[in-house]
Amino acid sequence: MDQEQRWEWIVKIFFRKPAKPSRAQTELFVQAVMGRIQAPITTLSAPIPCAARMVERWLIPALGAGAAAFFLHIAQPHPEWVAPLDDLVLMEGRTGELILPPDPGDHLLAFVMEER
Amino acid sequence: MIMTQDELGGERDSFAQLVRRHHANILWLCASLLGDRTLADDAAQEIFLKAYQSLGSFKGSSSFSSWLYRIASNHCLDLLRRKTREKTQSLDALLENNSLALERLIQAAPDAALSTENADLLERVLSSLAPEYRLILTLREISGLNYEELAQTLDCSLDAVKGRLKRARRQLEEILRHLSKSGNV
Repeated sequence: MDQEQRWEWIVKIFFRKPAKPSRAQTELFVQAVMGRIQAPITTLSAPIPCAARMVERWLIPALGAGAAAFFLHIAQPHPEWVAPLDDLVLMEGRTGELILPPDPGDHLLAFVMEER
Repeated sequence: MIMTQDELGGERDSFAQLVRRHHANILWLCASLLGDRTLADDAAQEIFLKAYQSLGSFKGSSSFSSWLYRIASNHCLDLLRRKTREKTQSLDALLENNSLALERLIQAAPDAALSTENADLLERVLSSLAPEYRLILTLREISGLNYEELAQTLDCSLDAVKGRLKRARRQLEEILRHLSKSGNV
């Protein structure tokens, strides 16, 4: 057997034509395909047409603007709240009690008020 | 047969006629490539659906059947590539376990009826071919496309078709040569 004859032999073994579909099988196939072509496409739709337009036109931009404002707000650095010195001094109903220890370098504040 | 304008326009009745006309050819291609009749049937449906959706893009530069074969080839190639990625058994393992059975199969008469095991064995050997090679061999040997039709279907030159057929044939012969070496051990 030469090379061409061997190849023809291989083709006959490996590439066998499958059975031809019957007419009935073809008709069933056609119905299946046409049924899928005619199947309605389901889409989300607003109950009121103008509401749908409003949703399309305004909702997304509004959501976007709101999200941008939110992120801008939380991204801004917030200065740490520092209690006024007077409040600290007046804390716990005791007047004159200095809560914060005096800064040794600050002569004006380096005193302790007596309790009354 | 000449395509009429309403067929190109996607009129449903005319398209149903097209499906009837080309069903067997597309099903043969899918069944030969995918090796499973159920998968082939599903694939064939998908192919005709894609064809219907793309009817507007058919310009008539090739024959309708070549255009349809192109859609079918691309679809089956995607499925074959997915199948190749999922394949777990190597060719060596396949040949080690089945070399005698394959040798007997090749020596048997080509038109002899195939048992399920032998059909499965042939399918596994063909699965070890590169998907592009299996496709072009199937289009040539089962669908019966000539070089010109192959070039239109695969959207490449005649020289590219001949080169690819040559390499595909070489790969299959190499696999079978490997088999005969294993059988002789």
